[in-house]
This record gives sequence, structure tokens and C-alpha cells, in this order.
Amino acid sequence: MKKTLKTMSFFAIAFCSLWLGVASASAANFKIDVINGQDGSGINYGTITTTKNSCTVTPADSSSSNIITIKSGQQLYVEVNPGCTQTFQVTVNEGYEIDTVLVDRQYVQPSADGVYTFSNITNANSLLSTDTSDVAHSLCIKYKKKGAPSSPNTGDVAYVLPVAGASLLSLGLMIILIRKNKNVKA
Amino acid sequence: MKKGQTKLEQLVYILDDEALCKQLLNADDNCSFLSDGMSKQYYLNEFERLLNSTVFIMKKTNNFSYLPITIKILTKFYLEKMKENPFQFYENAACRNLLDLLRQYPNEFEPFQKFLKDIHFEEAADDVGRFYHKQMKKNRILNDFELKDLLNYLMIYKNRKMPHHYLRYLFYVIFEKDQELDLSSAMYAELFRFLILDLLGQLGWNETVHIVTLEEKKPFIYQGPDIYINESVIKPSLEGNMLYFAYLFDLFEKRYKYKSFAHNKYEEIKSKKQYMIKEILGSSFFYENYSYLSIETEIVDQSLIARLRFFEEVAPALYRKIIEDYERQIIEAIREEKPSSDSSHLVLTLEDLTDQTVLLSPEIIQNRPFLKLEYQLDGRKKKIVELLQAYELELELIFEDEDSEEMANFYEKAIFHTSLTISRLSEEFVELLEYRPKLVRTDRLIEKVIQEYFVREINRGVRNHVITHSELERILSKFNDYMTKMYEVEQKKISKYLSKDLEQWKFYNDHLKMLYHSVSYIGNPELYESTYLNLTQVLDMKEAKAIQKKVLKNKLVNQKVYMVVLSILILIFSISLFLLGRIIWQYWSASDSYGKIQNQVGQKKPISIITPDPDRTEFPINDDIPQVDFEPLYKINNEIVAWIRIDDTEINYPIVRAEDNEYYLKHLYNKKPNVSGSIFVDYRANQDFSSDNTILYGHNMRNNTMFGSLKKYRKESYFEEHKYIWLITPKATYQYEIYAAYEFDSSKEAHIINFNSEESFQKYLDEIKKKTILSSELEVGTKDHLLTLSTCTDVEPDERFTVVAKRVMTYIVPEKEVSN
Repeated sequence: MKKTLKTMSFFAIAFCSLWLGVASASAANFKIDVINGQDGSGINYGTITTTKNSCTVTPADSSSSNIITIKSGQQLYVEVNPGCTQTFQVTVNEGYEIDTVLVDRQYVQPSADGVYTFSNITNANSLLSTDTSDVAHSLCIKYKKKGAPSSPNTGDVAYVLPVAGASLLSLGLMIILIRKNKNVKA
Repeated sequence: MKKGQTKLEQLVYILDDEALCKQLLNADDNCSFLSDGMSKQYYLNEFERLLNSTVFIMKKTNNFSYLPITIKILTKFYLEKMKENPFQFYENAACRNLLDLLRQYPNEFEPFQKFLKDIHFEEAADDVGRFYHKQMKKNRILNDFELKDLLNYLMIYKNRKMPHHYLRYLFYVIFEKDQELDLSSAMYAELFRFLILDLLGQLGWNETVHIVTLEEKKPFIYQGPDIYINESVIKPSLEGNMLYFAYLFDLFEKRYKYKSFAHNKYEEIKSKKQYMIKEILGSSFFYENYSYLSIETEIVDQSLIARLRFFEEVAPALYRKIIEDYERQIIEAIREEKPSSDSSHLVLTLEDLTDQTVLLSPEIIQNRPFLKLEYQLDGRKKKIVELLQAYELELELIFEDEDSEEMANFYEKAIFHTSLTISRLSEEFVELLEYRPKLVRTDRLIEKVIQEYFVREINRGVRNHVITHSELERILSKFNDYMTKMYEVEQKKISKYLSKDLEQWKFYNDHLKMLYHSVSYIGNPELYESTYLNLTQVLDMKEAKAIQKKVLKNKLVNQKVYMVVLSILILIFSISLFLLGRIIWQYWSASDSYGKIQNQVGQKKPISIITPDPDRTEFPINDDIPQVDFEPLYKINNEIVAWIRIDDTEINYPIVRAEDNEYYLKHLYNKKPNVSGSIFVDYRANQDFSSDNTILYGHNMRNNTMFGSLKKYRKESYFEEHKYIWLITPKATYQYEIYAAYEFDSSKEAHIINFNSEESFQKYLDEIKKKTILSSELEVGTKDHLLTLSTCTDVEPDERFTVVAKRVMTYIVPEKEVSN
């Protein structure tokens, strides 16, 4: 059962740490929890792909394609055999860029080439696993619009000067208007 | 003293006896030398009244036997007072009468001359005159006291050289400024008389006018034709008076009408038994046609009448003597002049009616059958000349051949009865206008006309001589032409001016009507007609009303716009005021909240140094290591993870951590909404501050709270003095040393919290080194833990100012203390 995506920040970020899926367990295999961020708007920010290899168990699909694609807003468990190595390629669509990357729930520096590799998967990660699922690793990609600020806006949002200016200006105009009108009447 | 005499009779006799008089003046309070013991004050009062009577009698009878004692009384009672203020002399009726006598009989009044000399009256008057002349040149507004003083001065000088511009100034003050002066009624009457004569002169009056001044506390009950009926206090203006005269001329154009009016008013006044009227005869330009000018003015001092009647009651002998002597003199004089009169029929001309004759005449005429009052105009010339001598001076007249010798002689002394001659008209008029600083357009127009035409004409050769009919008509003709031309040329401008306000229009209209009347009565019917037509054409009421209607409509529209704009401005002002108040409140609220928490969290715990900086040789003693009791903070908000402090700066705040980097931008550490927000750690950083680079955010507040003071790190000196940051957590206190500060564009670059590799960390450090504006020698490597304080700048929205510090010391709180 999937938890719903939680919108965070001002733009297009899936809240990876809370979005953990539950999948059917298999004692011999381990899973990699892959989450591709989205904010529910349906915009495709980027794609995560991984190549099937001999270790890859699931997802087993009927297509002859060797590539597993995880679209924006999707979560997928890639099931691998113990000792396997699995590589994920993140391709960001035009106009967007990677904001944060969580690997095993830890924020890491985004890789320059968008490649994330899990090597020699042998143990389930106790932090990631649930009662019914042995999750060895997780990968969560969050995006932002290209050029959007990377840190929060910490300017003084109490706009003292504009507000004080507006009040003084309106007061001044009122006085001028009233005096002018008085003169006209006189 | 004789038995049976009344006290007053006794006193009268005392007046004849210097010794007794002296006794009286030196009497004790009981006045024991008299038959009954009245107070000294009583006698002194009576004495003063008798002084008035004696002067009156002397004046009436030309009998100067009372003079020595009168002078003594005056000296005794007034000399000291006079020395203080010579003008008080003129507030006493007896003194004024004495002065009149002095002028008439200078030889008889040698002692009095000495008296006047003693009080230095003339010198004082000259000083006063000079003083006020200067004040008026400066255009200074006089105060009440000065005005009264000035009027006194004018009254003193009234029979000498008349300072007209002073008079005009007084008129201006009283009529234009509506300033009430505390003047005696006599002063007001005098002033008003001046005004009348002056205005008549200005208008070049040559027809009958009937002017009455009433003695009232509010002296000018003077409104249109109903001057005696409407007793409400009004404040007429100079223009109003001129208009009124013009109106009167209309009203009294017919002689019968005038006579009827005058008679009715006279009767009305008489019936009130309040006033007696003294008639002063004036002159008329059309004297020969028996059209005459009669000015009724100068209210007789009521107390004098009362005193005379009192004499009649209490001192009948004295009263009879006065009356009989007086009547005898009058009759003798009349018989001498008019042999035809006899005891049964006496023709009494107005000339014969001196002030006191009129005063007494109602009684005399009623009781003396031989007196028949018959108004005749014969013999008035003499009176007119006398009056002119009294009021006007320095007439240098040149006449043209067309004037007969007889007329010339008459004109020479009488042609213009007032102080003004036509030759002075423009000059005086301009002078008058000068005393009215707020000239409206009409005044300027008139002034221009007067200046351009009258002055020029007059200066060309008419100045200082009386203008004949032909001259006058010529000038007036030009005046009329000029006015017409002016009105035509300026009609559009005038219309524009008039359109401003109907009231202005009315004023303008009234003023021009006044001018029209002035012109009309000069004596040229044709000119009168054409002037009237021109003026009425210009001042078409219909046109004015149409303009006014349009103006009113515009005014209404303008008023609506005004109200809308004003409402919008009030709304903006109210909202901005509300917002300003809210901001100030939020500032205060945040400061208050942080202030409270800062005072609560102090706590001392044993602490041990874990990672001493190898470069440091001295360490702070335990007491200097800041610690925080987090228990109360957790109760407030369990998202508080640490405390930041930079000694001797405003930075001393709890650090919070949310699930994003947004919430605490607008919430205080206690989660209350506030624009100041909180200092919060990037949600991506490790909770135990073990990240390579822990980032703290805070607002760049204008009041330097939160991270508002970070901008001070742009100065090297500030950086040198505030190098160390304390980051206090429940488990440890970390000391960081600041080594870099720089600005960067957050839309292009980003802080990195955990680095993938040493290389990338080193690259990041190198970048910082490049960008920093501080000159720190501190070595920083990839094994170090950084603390980045980030805030906005005031320049660009995406621009950030960042201060970077390296952890240099860790002070661990022992485990058991933590658990406690």
C-alpha cells in the first residue's frame, strides 16, 4: 500500500523520507526502493532508468526491453539477488534540475553524471525495511525548476519601508487635497 | 451763604469765592464747613459737574467771570492727569468746550494757555503724530490702545491740519477689519462724521444727503434705509457705506422725499427722548438752486442735557439767568441782522441756530410765541464758510473766466465742503486703497483707472486748483470712456473671474454700481446714462447666473471626484497604518519572546574538552563555556535542537529543525506565526550536527535581530572581534571559528551538506576561499565540520550572504548529565 506523495517546498519535490512502500517479501532477495519525485501536478521532471541484469529479479515484465523506467511520481521496488550490483541513471528533463538526492534516507551530494550505483547488495537495511519487506537500499530524487533558489528566502518580509512610505504618501496627499479643497471653497 | 439755598446753589456761589473754593478743595472728609455733612467725594463730583456747567455757561454767554475758578479746578483735577496723558483732556466735554473757547477768545484765556503749555500738550501731540505716521508707513497693524490713542490725536488735530491718511486707516480698521475699539461715543460720532465728509468728498458729492449718527454703544447702527428700525449690530464695510450713500442719493433725489424722511426720522428720535440733534449746515454745489446739503450729526452729550434739566429743577434761578441771558443775546443778534423781525414774529435762520440754541429750542420755541422757526437758505453762506474754515484749509483755487466773480468767491471758500477737493480725488482714493492691502480685482481696476487717468489729468495742470464743471466733465468723460474700454477689453477675463463665485460677482456688481452712482451724481446725465448702460451690459445678471450655474455644476463634479479620491486615500492610509502597526507589533513580539527565552535557559553543567584545537594553547574555563538547559525548551517545542550564540552580538537564539526549510521562516521557536521566524537548521543536515557542512538559516531583519547582524561581517574589524560561534546541543557545546564570508546567487549555486567525496569537499572549500571577503589564516580541510550561517541580502531576492565557520572545539557534556 502506497502512501500518498506529500508536496513540499514551492516546487515539485516528493517527500522521499516518508514515502515508503510495502511490497511482498521474498526471503532470498533484497529490494531497492526507488522514488522519482513529483508534486502531484503530473509534470514529468525527469526519469530514472536501470538496466536489467542477471541479478535482477523484478520487476519481471513481459516486455523484451532490458530497461526499467521509473517516471516522475512513481515508486518502484527493484528486486535483486544477494551480492548484486545495480546502477540507476537519472535523466532530468529540460528546464529542471536535481534539488536533493536521498540515498538510504541520507541526503547526499547529487552526482555530476546522474548515476547512482548500489554495489554488492547483501543485507537488508534495518532503517528501510518493514515487517514485510527486506529493503536493502533506497534512492529518492527531488527536483526543482532550473534557476530556483537553492536555499530559503530569508529576507525581512516585514516590509516596513514600503508600508511606512505608503502611509506617509497617502497622508501627504490627503492633506494637500483637503487644503486645496478648502482653498477652492474659500 | 444764605439760608434756604440748596446745596448746589451754595456750590455755585462757592465758585465765585476763591477762598471758599480753596476751603472746599482742602476740606476734610466730613466737609464740616457746609451745613450738612456730605462726603468730600460727593462735593468733588458735584464740583466736576459744575466745572462742566461753568464752561458751558461761559461758552454760551461769553461771560468769563467763572474763568479763574474754572482754571483752578482744571489745574487741581486734571493737571497731573494731563501730564501723564495729554489726550485725556479731550475725553472731557468741559475741556473740549474750553478749548473751543480758547480758540474763539484767545486773549481771555491767557491762564488757560499757560495750563495747556504746562501739560505740553502740543509737543506730546506732535510726538504721537510722528509715531503713528511711522507705523503706518511700515504698514504695521495698530493695537486697540494705539488706535484709540490715534483717534485722540486726530480729534486734537481736527481743527488744524487734517491727517486724512490716519483717518482712512482708522476707517479701514473699524470697517474693514471689523475691529471694535473701546471708544467713547463722542469719538465714534466724530470719527463717523469724518468718514461721511471724507466719503462725500471722494464721491464728489453735490446733492442733498441726510446723515444721522446715533449715539450707541455699538455706534454704527447703519444699515440701508432702515437705519433707525433695525437695531441689530452690523459691521458695515467701507464699500457698504459708499453704496449706502449712493442709495441715499437715489432715495432722496426728490427734495420732498428727503424732507419727509428727515422730518419723520427727526420726530422718531425726538419721541424717544434720547437724542437731540444739532444741525450743521453744509454746502452744496448747487447752492444757488436751493438744493442743499444737510448733515445731521454730532449727538449732543446727553449728560449735558440732563445737567441742564437738573439745573432747571434744583437751581431754577441759575437756569433762568442762563436762559434769559442767552435768549436776549440771540434776539439782539437777530434783530440786528434782521430789522424786520419783531417780538411777535421773528425770522430765525438756520445760521442763527447755534448748537445750544438747537439744544434749547424745543423748550424755547414752545414757550416763546415770538419765535417762529423758519428755515431759510439765506445767510447760509457765512455758516458754510465758517464750517469750511473749521474743516478745510489750504484751498488754493484758480477759476476760469466762465465762472462769475460771485461764484468764484463762493467757491473759493465753499465749493467743496469736505476736506477733499476733486483735485485731490485720485490721490486720496489711491491712498485709501493703499490701506486696504487685500485688494480684490475690482479695486485694482479702479486703482488703475484712477492712476492712469485721474492722476495724469490732474497732474497735467489741474492739481491744486478746483476743477470747474467743464473740466470735471472732461475728466469724467475720459474716465467713462476708459472704464468702458477697460470693461470691453477685459470682459472675458472678468467673466472668468466672476465665474469663480457668485458672491464675488455680487461684490463686483455692487462695487460697480457704486461707481456708477458716483459718476451719475457728478452732473452729466448723458454720461450717467452711457456709464449705466455699459455697466449693466457687462454685469448682465442673466449671464452671470448662467456662468454661476455652470460653475456650480463643475463644483459638484469636482466635489464628487474629491470625495472618491479622498476616500481611496483614507483607505490606503488606514490599511498602511494597520500594516505598519502589525509589523511593529510583530517586531516587538519576536524580540520579547526571544528575550524571555534567552533569560530562561542558562545552566551550568560539568563539561569536558574532547577535541582541543591543536593550535590552541589556552582554553576557556568551564564557566565560560556556554550551556543551555534544554528541558524547558523541549516543553515549548520539541523541534528545538540546539542553541546558537555569538558573544557580544545579537545572535543568541534557539535552533529549530522542521521537515522542510519553510515552516520556521514564518514561525517563532514556539511555533507562533511571526515574520521574524526562527534560526533553523537545514532539514537535510544530520541531526547531530555531524554533516560536513551544517547550514543554519535566519532572516536578515532590519532591526538586526535573527541573522540581521550577519551583514556586519562585511567589516574586517567586526569579524576580528566576533570570530567564534557557540553551537550548544544537549550533548555537547561546539565552538566554531569563522573564517569566510561571501555572497552567492542561490539560483545558480547551492550549499552542499554532505559531500560524495573528499575531492568534491575540497573543491567546495576552494570555492569558498575564492569568494570570501575575510582575510582569515585558518586552515580548513575535508576532515573538518563546517557551520554555514545563511541569510538574504537586501539587494537581490536570490542573493544570499553566508558566513562559514569551522568547528574548532567540542565540549562534551558527560553522559549522565545528558540523561539527567
